[in-house]
Parts: sequence; C-alpha cells; structure tokens
Amino acid sequence: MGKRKRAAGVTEEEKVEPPPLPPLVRDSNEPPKKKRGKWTNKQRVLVFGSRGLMAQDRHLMEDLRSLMPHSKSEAKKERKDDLRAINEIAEMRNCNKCIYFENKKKKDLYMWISNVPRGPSVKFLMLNVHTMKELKMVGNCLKGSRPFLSFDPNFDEPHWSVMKELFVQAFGTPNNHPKSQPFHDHVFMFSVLDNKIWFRNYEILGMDGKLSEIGPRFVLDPIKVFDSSFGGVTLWENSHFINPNLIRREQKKKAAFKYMNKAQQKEGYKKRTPSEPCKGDPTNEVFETKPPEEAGSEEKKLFIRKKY
Amino acid sequence: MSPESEAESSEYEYSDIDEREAMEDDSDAELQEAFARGELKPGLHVVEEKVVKEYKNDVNGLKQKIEEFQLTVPWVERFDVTNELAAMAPELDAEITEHAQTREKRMKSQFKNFTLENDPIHNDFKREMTFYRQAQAAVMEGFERLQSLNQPTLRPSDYFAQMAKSDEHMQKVRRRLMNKQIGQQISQRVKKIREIKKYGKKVQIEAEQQKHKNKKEMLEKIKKFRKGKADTIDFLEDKGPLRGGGAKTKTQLKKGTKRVTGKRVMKDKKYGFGGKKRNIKRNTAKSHANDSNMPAMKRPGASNKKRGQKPKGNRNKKSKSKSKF
Repeated sequence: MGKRKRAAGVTEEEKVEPPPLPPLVRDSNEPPKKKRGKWTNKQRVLVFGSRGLMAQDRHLMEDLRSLMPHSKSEAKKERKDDLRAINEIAEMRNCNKCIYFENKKKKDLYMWISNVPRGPSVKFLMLNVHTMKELKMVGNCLKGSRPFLSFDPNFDEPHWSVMKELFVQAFGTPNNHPKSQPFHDHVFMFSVLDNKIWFRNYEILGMDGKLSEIGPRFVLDPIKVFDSSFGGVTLWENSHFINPNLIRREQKKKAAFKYMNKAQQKEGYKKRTPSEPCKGDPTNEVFETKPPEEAGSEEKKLFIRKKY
Repeated sequence: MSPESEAESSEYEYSDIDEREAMEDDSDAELQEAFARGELKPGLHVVEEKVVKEYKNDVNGLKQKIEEFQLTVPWVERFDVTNELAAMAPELDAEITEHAQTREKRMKSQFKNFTLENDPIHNDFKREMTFYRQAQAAVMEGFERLQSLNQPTLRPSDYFAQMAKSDEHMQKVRRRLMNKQIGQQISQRVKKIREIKKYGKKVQIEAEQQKHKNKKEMLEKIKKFRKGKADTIDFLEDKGPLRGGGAKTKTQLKKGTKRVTGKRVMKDKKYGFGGKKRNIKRNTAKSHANDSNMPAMKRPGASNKKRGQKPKGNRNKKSKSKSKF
C-alpha cells in the first residue's frame, strides 16, 4: 500500500509545475521584484438568479461563473422583490456589472445584463440553452484564462452596439486579474442572426485557428434596452420579439380549433346525409323501354301480339 | 328564445360564419354613416382602425448612453475583435458538402418533396460553420495583435493549471467519443458483410445458371448422337459427372485433410465402408435364388425330437425360445 501511494505522489508532482518560490532572504538594497502587471480594469460582475430557476438554468449560471474569474455570486433573490433592489445588492458586493437570471413559469429563462449604477441595462429572453456539462462539447480551457470576444459586423447599429459594449465589459476578463491566467485558449463568439444574438464558446486548439466547442451555448433574444440599471426609460424595443406566452397561446388555440373543426364536420355530415335512400320521380321511367332482344320473361309479353 | 329564432340560429350554425358575423357587426345606420364618410368600398363591410404598435428606437439616446459608459482603454484590456468570417478552409467546405450529400441521400429516400434549403438540420450545420469561421477569424486577428504587443498567446502544452472542466468530466467525454467511434466501426463492418453476402448470393446464382446451361448443352449433344448426327460421345468423358461436381471436390478436400489410422482401415475392411446403406438386408431376386445360406430342410419330426429333449439347464432357455421362430 505504502509503495503505491508514493508512486501516485510522484506522478502528481511531475504533472504540477512547482511554483517559483520567493527567496527567503532579500537584501535591503535589492529593488523589489516587479509584478506581472497592473490590474487597472476593475470590472466585477455579479452573476446570480432569482428563486425558481430550473436545473439547467442553474448549471448555465455556474458555467458562466467558472468561465469568468471576475464574477461574484450571490444568494437567490426573491421574485417578488423589486428589480431595483439588485442595484443595492451589487453595490454591496462591490460589483459594477450584473448578470441576473430569472425563470418564469418554469419555462422561459430571462437574462438581464446591466451596468449597475447608471445603466444601461438590457433584458433578453434566452433560447436554446446548452450547458458546458454536455458531453457533445469536447473542448476544454484553462479556468480563468482571458477569452477573445468575437463580434460580427452587424453590431454597428446603435442598439446592438450598446449590447456589444455591455458584453465586452461583462464577459471580458480584465487584464492581469489576480485569478486570471496569462494565456489565451478560448474565444467567446457573439453573432447577430435573425435579430437574435448567438453565443458560442470555443477552445483554441492551435495557432492556425482550429477550434473545438467548450460550451455553454445559447441564443439571446433582446426584448428592451433601458436607460438605467434594471428599469428606467426604454431606449429601444425589439419589434421582432414575440412573447413566448403568445406563441404557446396560439399553439393551444390551433389545437382547440382542430377539435372544433372536427366536431363541426361530423355534425355537418350527419345533417347533409339523408336518412332514406332518394326516391326519384316515377314518371321518369315511362319512356325507358328495352329492345325486344333484351327483354326478359315478363317484359317479353309486351312484344307478343295477342291473337284474337 | 322563441322556437323560430332557435331554428334560425341552428340554420346559421353551419352556414358561412363570416357572413353571419358581418351581419351582426354592422347595422344599417352605421353603414350609412360610413358610406357618407366615404370609407365604404365595394366588398367591405366595416372599416377597422388599424392599431400599429410603435416600437421605441431612441437612436440619439442610445448613442449618448454608449458614450457615457464606454470603456476607453487600450485593446489589451478589452480584448474584443470585430471581423468578417474567415476564408472557408477546404476541409470545412468538404465537410459541408459531405453533410449535404449524406442528408440528401437519407432524406430523399423517405420524403419525396425534400429540399436541402428547407432542411433544418443541414441549415443548422451550416450556421454552426459560419460561427466557427467567425471565431476563427477573431482568433487569428487576436493572436496577431498579441504578438505585435509581445504578449503570451496560446497555452503551452506543458502548462498545467486548473481547467474549466474537470478531468473526470473529460474522461467521460473521451469515453463517449470512443464509444461513438466503435459504434461507427461496427456499423461499417456490418455493412461490408452485408455487401459481401449480397455478392456471394449473386455468384451462387450465376454458378447454378452455368450448371444448368452445361447440362442442357450436353443433353442436346446426346440427342444429336442418338439421331446419328454426331459421331462421337467424347464430350461425356471430357467433363466430370454433371451432378455433385462441386460436392465431390468438397469431399476430396475433406479426405485430404482427414487422417486415416490403421485401426480405421481394419474396421472398414471388416464391416465395410461407403456405399449404399439402405436395403442391404432386403431380399432380392438374386438372394432368393441363392439358397446356400438357407437352413437345410429338416425331416418332419426331427425338430420334434429335439424339442422333446429336455434342456440340461437354464442356459439354453433363450436359444430354445429363439428357435421357435
């Protein structure tokens, strides 16, 4: 047993690089060692959700937390509390950005991104969520490495550019963040397609630009852009947005009409079909005669001349 | 409700619903008014005011907001890249065309009016490829910029630190990939075997047909010989027996492989080997004529005398009972 344990310990030591230990003694005239860099861009993002999040939503939230070393967590918020209370929570946690998840009816996941003290904030409906835990996502990256943020040229329009700026500040890991890694091995992709924002996270496999997906992946359907944080004047409203409740209602309606149509058709058929076979006009057959060759026994009598 | 009105309503029930609704909706007075206003057009019953929802789009406000909260820091802090798609790599292109082909092949056999443009799965694949290319272009540009700034780029292969996904999870991923691969291999092998079987069947049928053909030919030749058209019947000696040609070769092969021991040889000599097994013990005309094996005719009484003899012991009981028959 002892031998085995020792062997395992050796392999672990081989794997993990020993961190360079600082010298035990430093001369007073020796200049202090230069730090890796200055951490100037102090963005902190509060990532949390409301009560009533489903398991997948919670996993997604945790994925984002693990990918963003500058994120902070917070306990679930009561849903009945005012959204503006989040501003205070964020301030207490020393955060200037907030990503807030909210699930309604255990079906629709909404995401808020907000610049906390002064705004703006955007509300999204989240669609097609896949988490990092899914086995189809093959890639992997360092925990806390800084991602590239890739945007497509459609982000030029004013409302998209507001969202882009929010994404850059919220999702981008600040340079020289103490929890971040010095290398760059993944990329966040934001693309506007079909009036929605598609998010992907890829691992960079080589300098030639080969990628493999890490996850999570989701689609953001923007609903509104507000002037201030979690409320305020509406700056932009999405004309293409359809409330998921409306979609469900329409579907239900369709199904309901399906039954009604069927019932109506059945009734109508009953009404239209006569209960008795159709009786024609007896005078119609007066002129229908048969030629003598085809006449049967009774009919034959017609053609037999009686002898008097 | 009076019975009359009830009857009326039931009549309406299955008539054109639109008409009925229209009749209910607009009274004469309303229609007259509308006509006076000039809102009535032929074929129109009621003019509805269209409520167009106005969606807010405060461009100036948005621009102002951006200026207000934009981060004006060097690129290294922001790390954002805006770019077009990367050039289509040949292998990506090949992958897309392959996907299209397989999709089309599979779906066309099931659905007649299948088009690749309306296939959600293929479109999904193509969309993912565009995202991939966008990310690829961003990576290339980002690395270029980093190199110009003398910053570290990609993680070296010997740099170990905590990863976003645990080792346990990655093991799972690997296992799934392996299983998928194995499954693919198995299905490929099964496909191959199926094809070989199909081919084998074809060969078998061909061989049978050939055999029939040979037989027919030979029979014709024999016919000719009988009629005196042909002189020789050499062809009978050239070829082996018609039936069981293949089978014979098989037995020969088997014989070649089988080892024959001396014991077997002796036994075969003693009890016989090969040949017809059935009807050996049956009487034939020849065996009937040959009476050498028959017991000699006995004088009457000889057997009685023998019968009269008392057996000396129980030993002969069996033989006696046998001789009765």
